Amino acid sequence: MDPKETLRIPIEATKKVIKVTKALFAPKATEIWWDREVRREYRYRGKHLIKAELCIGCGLCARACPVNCIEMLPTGVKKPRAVPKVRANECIFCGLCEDACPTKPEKAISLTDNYRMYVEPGTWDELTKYTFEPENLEEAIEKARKMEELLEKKKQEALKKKQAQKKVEKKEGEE
Amino acid sequence: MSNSIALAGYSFTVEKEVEVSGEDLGLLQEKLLQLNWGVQHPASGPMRLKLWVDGDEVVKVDPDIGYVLRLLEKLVEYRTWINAIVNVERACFIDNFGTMTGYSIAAEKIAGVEVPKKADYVRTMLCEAGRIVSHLIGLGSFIGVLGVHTPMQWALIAREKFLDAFEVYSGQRIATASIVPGGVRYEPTGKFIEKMVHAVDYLEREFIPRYGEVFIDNPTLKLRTKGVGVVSKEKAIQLGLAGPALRASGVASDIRKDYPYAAYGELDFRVVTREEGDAYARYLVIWEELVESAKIIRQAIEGLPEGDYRTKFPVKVPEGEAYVNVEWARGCFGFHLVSKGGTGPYRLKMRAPSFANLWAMPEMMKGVKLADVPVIFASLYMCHGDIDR
Repeated sequence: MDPKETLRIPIEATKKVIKVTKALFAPKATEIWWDREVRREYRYRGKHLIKAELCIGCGLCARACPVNCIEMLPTGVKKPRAVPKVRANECIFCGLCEDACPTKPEKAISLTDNYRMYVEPGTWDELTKYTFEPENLEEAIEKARKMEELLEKKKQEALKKKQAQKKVEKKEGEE
Repeated sequence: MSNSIALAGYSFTVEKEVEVSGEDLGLLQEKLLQLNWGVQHPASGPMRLKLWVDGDEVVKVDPDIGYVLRLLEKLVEYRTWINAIVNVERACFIDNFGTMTGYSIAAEKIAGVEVPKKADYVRTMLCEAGRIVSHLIGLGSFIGVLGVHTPMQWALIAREKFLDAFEVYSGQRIATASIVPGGVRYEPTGKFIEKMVHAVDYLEREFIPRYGEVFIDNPTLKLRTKGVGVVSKEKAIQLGLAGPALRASGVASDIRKDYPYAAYGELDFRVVTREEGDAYARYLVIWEELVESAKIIRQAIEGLPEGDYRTKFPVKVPEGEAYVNVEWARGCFGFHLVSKGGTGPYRLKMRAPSFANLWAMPEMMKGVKLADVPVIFASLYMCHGDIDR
């Protein structure tokens, strides 16, 4: 047999192996897109930013939403009675909730220029679970609770004072 | 035997001869063939035309619509006065400003709200930009139907500049949701005006000369479209054509001129008409309207007044109804809005120009050659979202 013929198959196999190993360690041809800056405009309507401290719980955003994707989550405190939660899967990013929000000067619910929204795996169950929830909600609730407690203390103190004053007045009257 | 089937080794024997008569064969008896032109045809969009052809001649056309029905009119009934715009604008995404303006004017009429002048000017500007965007796609797709796809790409490049302006203005490129009852949603910033001027500059200096040189006085295009689908002036009125198709038959009907809304009454422009009434004339009307729209945008930018851009619109609107016509890119778009004193519209009926044009088409297509069907279809400049709503 010709030596060239016998060597043909192993040489080709080694060539292929070298090619594959090279490709494995070569730099990637594709880039992960969210690492790069994408041109976004000033009024870009992207992911929602909900600030629980600013929210007054009026529910106007839920009413303004054309697709009814905003739910009001009850908080258990008085001041923001409920805070909005946006079901991202149904949202059409029209920005009407931002228009409806009455807080000034900063809006409690606003659309940011953050476009990084992805769900993995993209099944229906996962998509329905994907929501935009208010930022540091627990802190805000605790803050509100403390404020309520303080207010209640002040109220009770005031009541006690009043009662004490009344007692004094009564005593003066009796005398 | 010279039959190729016989040569291949097959043979046929006649077992029984039956004479078919009467209504059994229906149209087949008259040697007519039914063709399904559409749903998957590159020119048709999501719609089917049932064509009965006798050889090469079209005998009867029956449009089969409803593939993109979204019940927009019904959906509006579940919305409030403000957020109904997201349904109204989706009648056709290409020129969404026209429909939003019409709805807003109707709602303002019922509520008795007067819009600030600045909002009127911004509306005018956006409506005309939307018209240009729509016309660019119309021009491109008209030649695209004939088999040349370069003009569509050129048109899309020019359209991109306008979409950039919309993005700066509202944050979205297509579904802008930017015109509401009571004005417009955003302040027209300097950057928006700059982008708009840039887009109009590009259109006037780059697109129009270059496109006009190649695709307007084009002999092949003329051969293909001149004398095809001719509609006379009387016939056009009788059929109820709308928009550029009506103006191409010599009827100077334009809501912007006849019943001015927004800021059109204060601006100077010309209603483009043609006398021929064929497919080429319709194409030219769309082409010349581009120039007029660019002029209107320039005037609106120059005359943009200072002041507020939005007034408060009441949550509850008193009982009443209003009918408002606006000149949309594809023709006269009518809005019949009824209020029963609630927080949202009681009923909205939209009169769509493309729908009117569609039902005029079977009459125009009688007796034409099969090859002319796409030309007439494209020249009527219809939008499927608008037909089905």
